[in-house]
Amino acid sequence: MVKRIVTWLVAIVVLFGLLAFAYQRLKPHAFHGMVLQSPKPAPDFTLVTEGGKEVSLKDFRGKIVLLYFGYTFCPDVCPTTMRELARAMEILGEKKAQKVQVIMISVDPERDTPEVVAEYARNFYPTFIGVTGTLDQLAQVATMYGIYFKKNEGTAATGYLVDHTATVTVINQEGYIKLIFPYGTPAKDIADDLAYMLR
Amino acid sequence: MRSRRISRVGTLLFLGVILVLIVAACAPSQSASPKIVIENVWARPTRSGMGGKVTSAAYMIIKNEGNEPDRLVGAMSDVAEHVEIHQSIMEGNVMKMRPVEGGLEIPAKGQVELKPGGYHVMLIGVKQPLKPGDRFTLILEFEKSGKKTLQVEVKEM
Ligand SMILES: [Cu+2]
Repeated sequence: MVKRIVTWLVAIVVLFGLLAFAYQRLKPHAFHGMVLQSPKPAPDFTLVTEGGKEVSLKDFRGKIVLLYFGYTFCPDVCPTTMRELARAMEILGEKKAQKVQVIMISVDPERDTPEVVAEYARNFYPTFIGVTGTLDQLAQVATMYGIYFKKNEGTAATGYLVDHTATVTVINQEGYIKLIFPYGTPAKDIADDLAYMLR
Repeated sequence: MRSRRISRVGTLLFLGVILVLIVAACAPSQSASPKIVIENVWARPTRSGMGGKVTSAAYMIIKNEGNEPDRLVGAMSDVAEHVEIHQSIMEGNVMKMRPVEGGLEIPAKGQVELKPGGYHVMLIGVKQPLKPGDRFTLILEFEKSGKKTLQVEVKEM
């Protein structure tokens, strides 16, 4: 009698476990980032990283690419975002992080040489790439991605500052713009969306 | 009967005078003044690969337990050439960083949080690398409360 009850209990627990598992797998993923309703092909661009090496978006087809436009002199918003992206990689783990390429594009070519921005980006996570270009090239890339940036007068101590769109653009493995992460998206939400895209 | 009434009036007068004296004695401590208390002080590490001057930002919660507002009007530290009070302002998705003009008001019985993406104490021209675990001294200057010396811990978010 007792044996029978135990058998039934075990069966019920297993059944609930299977149902929960199936639900987890089948339920639609609710993205944390802003989903582009009609994903459009991410325009290709070529900018420069350390050693004068050219970096093109198409080099990373098959990986998820995260684009962030910023500048290294920025003490607040840029390092906050770069740190969240690095933490997202840590949450994903090395193996999945290899399928994600973070590219920081410096919109401050006066202060940030390709060497400077490359080292800055790598400082947050070893695989992160930093690139920049001429002001004309940067303006062109920014326009293609709907990114605004503008030099602004600062104080005597800071010199000029750069106002810039602080979102992260997510390009999927097929080269389509899939998601936008607004400033302040927590690392775990970023990791969650990326893990789903990598499933 | 009459003398008793007089003594009663006398007692009342006496109590009244005492009351006035007590109120007068308390008045200075009740007069408006700010009381600044600063908590959760930390700063971001510097990175190699910074174009121009090396920068960092310090964050904290500034509480004012007093009954009069105060203003954070300046800051200084030996670790940086310049220290300024800044605000990152989000307009749509565009982030703009600006110095806070005229000081940062800390309301009476209120608090202001300096946090990433908002108010921060910006360190400009940081002289040596700030690594997680390092500590340094930061002096904040308030309009009424004067200078406050803080120990800042460097840490990653
Ligand atoms: Cu600032």
